[in-house]
Amino acid sequence: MTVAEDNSLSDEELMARIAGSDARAFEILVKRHQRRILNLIYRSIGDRIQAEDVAQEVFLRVWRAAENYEPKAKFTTWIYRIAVNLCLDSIKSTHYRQSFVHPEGDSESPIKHEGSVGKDAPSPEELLIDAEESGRIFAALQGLPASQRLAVVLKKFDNLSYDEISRTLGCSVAAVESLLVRAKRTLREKLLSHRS
Amino acid sequence: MNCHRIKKRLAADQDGEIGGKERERISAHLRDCPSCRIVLAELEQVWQSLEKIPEIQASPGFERRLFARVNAVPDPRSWWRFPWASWIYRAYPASAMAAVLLLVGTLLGGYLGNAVVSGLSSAPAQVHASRTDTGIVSFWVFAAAPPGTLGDGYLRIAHFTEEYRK
Repeated sequence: MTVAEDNSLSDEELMARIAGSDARAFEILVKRHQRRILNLIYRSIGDRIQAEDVAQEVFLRVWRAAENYEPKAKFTTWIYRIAVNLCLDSIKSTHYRQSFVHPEGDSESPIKHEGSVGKDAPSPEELLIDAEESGRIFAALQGLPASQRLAVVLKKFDNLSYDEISRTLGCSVAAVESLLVRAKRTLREKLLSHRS
Repeated sequence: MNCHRIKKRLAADQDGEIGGKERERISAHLRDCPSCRIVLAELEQVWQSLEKIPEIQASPGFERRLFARVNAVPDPRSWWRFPWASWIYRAYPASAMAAVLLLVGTLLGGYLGNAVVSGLSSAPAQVHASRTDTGIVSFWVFAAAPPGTLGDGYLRIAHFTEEYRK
């Protein structure tokens, strides 16, 4: 299959092929959703290494479930649901702590920095300030209760609607709104009080 | 709408989840209320600041490790699974399981009952009576412990144990 043919296959079509143990279809699905799933998990649990383990478990479950998969809902809702459940399990099982791995880049998995090339590239001092600021904001996010944190991540970074978030988290739309109201209030108190 | 109620809806308004008349009411309130405008501005600021959280990329060996784990998963389509059995199990999993358990239990009970009965030389009086008093074999099924069943076997064991102790 060519790259164009790969991209033309829907997630449901890929799942049907994976049910027949098509490794190539599975590879395409992983490449298509890997970045989003990994970052959803990383922003939710705050640990890079653990996030990769959990992300792998998500795709492993996709592989195992392919034979019985029925596209009753959007594929992304289904895979997000698996990821969210595994995030919650991970948080409970590791007795999540307030400290976390600072989101700095390393040689193995660099972090994207926007506008870091050319004459407008930030100075080392600006990069340091940015890293400290992003660390503080990340800490504030990790300080939220798990369900609020997941709601924020799904809304802010995946731009899901309240209805989609409710299906992913398995709660009502009103509950999603309540989670986000409380989360935003807490974030506002933590982040803006620091500045003042 | 008072400020307390408006502030509770600002998060949803910011997320584009409010439309229609409610949105108009909120907009009208914000025009006249500096306090709620400040809260909205702060929510915007906080929401924007989350964009400073960087995105990570998977480590270079991520896919290799994943595919190695996938290859280690045993093929579920092993020799003992037939397509029709798979269909039945998927359509009626509880019924299929109950039927299997019933079949196994019946076969096991019948086998054990016969195995116990055939190993004994004497029979308890009540079991002997059930075999000799009534000449109609079909009535045996109504007995408390019909011949050849597990219950019949247990009664024989109990009687045999008593005899042995004497």
